[in-house]
Amino acid sequence: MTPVEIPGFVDEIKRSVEEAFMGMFGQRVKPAPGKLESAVQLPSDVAGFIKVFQDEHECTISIVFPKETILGILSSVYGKPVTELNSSVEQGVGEIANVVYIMAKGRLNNRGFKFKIAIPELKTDIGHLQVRQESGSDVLMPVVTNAGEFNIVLGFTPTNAA
Amino acid sequence: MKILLVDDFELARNLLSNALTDLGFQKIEQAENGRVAFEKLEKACADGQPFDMIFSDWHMPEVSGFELLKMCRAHEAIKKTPFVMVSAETETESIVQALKTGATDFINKPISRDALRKKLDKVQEKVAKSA
Repeated sequence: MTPVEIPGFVDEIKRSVEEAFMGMFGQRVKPAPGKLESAVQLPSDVAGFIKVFQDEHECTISIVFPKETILGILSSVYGKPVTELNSSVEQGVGEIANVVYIMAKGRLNNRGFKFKIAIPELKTDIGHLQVRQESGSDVLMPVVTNAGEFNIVLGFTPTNAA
Repeated sequence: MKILLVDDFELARNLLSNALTDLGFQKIEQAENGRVAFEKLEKACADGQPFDMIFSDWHMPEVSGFELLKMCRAHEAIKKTPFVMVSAETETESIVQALKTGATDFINKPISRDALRKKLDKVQEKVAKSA
């Protein structure tokens, strides 16, 4: 991915997150404009990771939830308080990541990007999960929902181009 | 309209149920597999309050969505109940198989509210034409 293509890519991911939340929860979320950061380190509780490839690994899309936000979102889905990070919550984050993955795949293909996108992975570690990009440029995008805030981190692999 | 949602994934059932509620439907029941669904369908008929529509996932333990479809189409009181198969986007062959076996329509996951509203309109139109 060239530096020129990155803003378009970021925009499609942002729209995919908006579509996923509207489709799944009927909720209009507001991702903030992406903020360029270097080597983001973000403590969290549960996260879904979507890896995007072209010839080689290009970007990891991390959907990073603090416990309170994801419990709030899923409490409204189940219609009852969800108070612990259990397998239902992991299923929920997995489904959110999966829907973002499906939306992003379609949107990026329509825009002419020829990416391969891996099935999302999921990690849970209450209070200890570190979403950490070792190098390269990252775009940090806070997303506001009715239940609180979560983050999208786009970690771009550095290119070798001179 | 009374609707039965069948999926082994509780979150998927709740997401679809919430979407239908947002669209104005209030009589929504859930079942976690085809066996439980068929029991509910038969009981509802026996009680004189049959379901008006079924949404069923394909892959489920015990009795799959496809098996449930065949059971419904073989049952005198349920054979005409609109049956919408919920599928993943990659399951084209399964969709064709379901439609040939009597599914009224299908809808792809992830189900957006917009797609759901359009699908409901289409199914109701189909049912009205065939009545």
